[in-house]
Amino acid sequence: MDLLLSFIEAASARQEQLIAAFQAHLLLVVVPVSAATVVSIPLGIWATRNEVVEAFAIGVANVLQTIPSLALLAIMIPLGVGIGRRPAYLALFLYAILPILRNTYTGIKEVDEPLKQAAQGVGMTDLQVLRKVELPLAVPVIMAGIRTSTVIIIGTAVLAAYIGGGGFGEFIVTGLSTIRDDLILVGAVPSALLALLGDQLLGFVEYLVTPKGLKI
Amino acid sequence: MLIGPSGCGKTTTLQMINRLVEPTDGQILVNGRPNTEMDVVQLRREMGYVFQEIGLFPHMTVAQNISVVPDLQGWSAQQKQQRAEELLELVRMDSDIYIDRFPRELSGGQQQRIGVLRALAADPDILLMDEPFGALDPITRSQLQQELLELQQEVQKTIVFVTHDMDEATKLADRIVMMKNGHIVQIDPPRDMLRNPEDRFVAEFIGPRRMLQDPLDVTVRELASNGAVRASSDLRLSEAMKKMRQEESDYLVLLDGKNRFAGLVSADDVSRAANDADKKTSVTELADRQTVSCDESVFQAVHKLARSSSAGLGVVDEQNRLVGVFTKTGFVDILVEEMWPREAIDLPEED
Repeated sequence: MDLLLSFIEAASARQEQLIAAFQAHLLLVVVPVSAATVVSIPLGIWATRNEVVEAFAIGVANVLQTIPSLALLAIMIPLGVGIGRRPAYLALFLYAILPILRNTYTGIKEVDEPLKQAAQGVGMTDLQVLRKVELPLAVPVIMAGIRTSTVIIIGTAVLAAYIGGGGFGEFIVTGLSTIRDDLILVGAVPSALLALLGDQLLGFVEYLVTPKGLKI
Repeated sequence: MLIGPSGCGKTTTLQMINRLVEPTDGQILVNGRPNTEMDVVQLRREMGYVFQEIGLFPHMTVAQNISVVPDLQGWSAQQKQQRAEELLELVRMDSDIYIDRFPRELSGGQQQRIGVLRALAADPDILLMDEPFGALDPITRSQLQQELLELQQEVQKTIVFVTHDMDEATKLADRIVMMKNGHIVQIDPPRDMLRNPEDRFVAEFIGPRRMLQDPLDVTVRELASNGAVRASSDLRLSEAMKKMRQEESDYLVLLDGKNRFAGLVSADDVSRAANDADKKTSVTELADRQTVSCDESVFQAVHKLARSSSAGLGVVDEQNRLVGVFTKTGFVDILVEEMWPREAIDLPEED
């Protein structure tokens, strides 16, 4: 009870800082995920069309994903990208790629073979098969990838504070080093809420972009 | 109609026609031109393709599915809509109800109707059908087979149809191509194939005594003989006798000026009448005009024939055009063949 009270007190005393942290955190999510989307979707499509790209892209993305997130952020410093927002964006961007890339790739690959053959059989070119059949059917899966990626990055962005990236993580880092539980909560609670909210919101977007014929 | 056991190459053959599979050797001529010389996309758009798995695009409405090829060919929205409505009418589906539905809202039979309409949409000359009714329940299947026959009456396409179902083949085919291990074993109209299978393989594929097992499933069309001697219905008795003697036939099939069935006369009747005092001058007066519709079962035809004093029945289509004749003697021959097929019993060689 005491903790709850001191948490509310600490939070209300830092309203301006909270708003700034919220904006920074949002940017730490939106910028990397948007960039990853722009890169991953074409790459994922290309991977379904070309075996070399397939092996290379999926392989590299898998490796990136296995690197612990804190390590990936920290490694930006010795790599010479420095500290602050830019290295945080870069590390989170790399981290956001895999779910979108993998879902784009599998979403298209897993369109029923008979349907692809039907599309070819009625005389669609490869590009038309992609545009008229494969992509519309893969859109919900791709969107699910973006959603997964977003939720992961909202969580991982907390760690960006360690390299000076800002966001809700700042409160947690300060709280940890000064052993103040209320400050930890000031960072942890809003970032958890943001993750839940983001998940719900994108779940709704996923529903919206699902072709009507698939929702029946 | 391509038929044969699984893996005999019938689907591959079909897919080579529109180059979903490229032939390693040989040529396929489409309207006289090797299909490998044609633009592959254009070639496919000029042929309708109906798939076994139906292959309707689940994210598109019925109208959009039907209009896939017209859309690729750049028809206007109005043309596409009109064509879709027109085609739905052809299979008696109410376009107000169905045109904006999605495939998942339709039954299997309805989906495959749309599959057939999609293939017909751009009015191709050639239709490729790969076991289109294979995934449907027996009742729906036979319904769609019937509809296809009616549709074909109307649209008159060249249809290459793949099946492994002999009943389907005999019901729908003009000619059956029996395949085995990538080779053609026999090409014949259904009736000829049923009666004279090329070898033991074909006989076994047809199945023993199909007619005896399912007399209701076999239509008279399959068994009707079209080798009967035909003559004009205004023939005189003496001419009729002469003709039968020449052709060594004991009956004549009479046709009127419009090629419609006008009756059947037997040699006995003609010779009796010729010796009679009050001479009838025309064979028409002696003719038996009993007919049976070509879609009726052999079972019904045999009963009709048994009750009749006539030597045979005329087998006719809806417009009363002659498809063939079904005679008592002919039926006995068929029965013997069905019960004791020559190739199944090693008879001593006749000389």
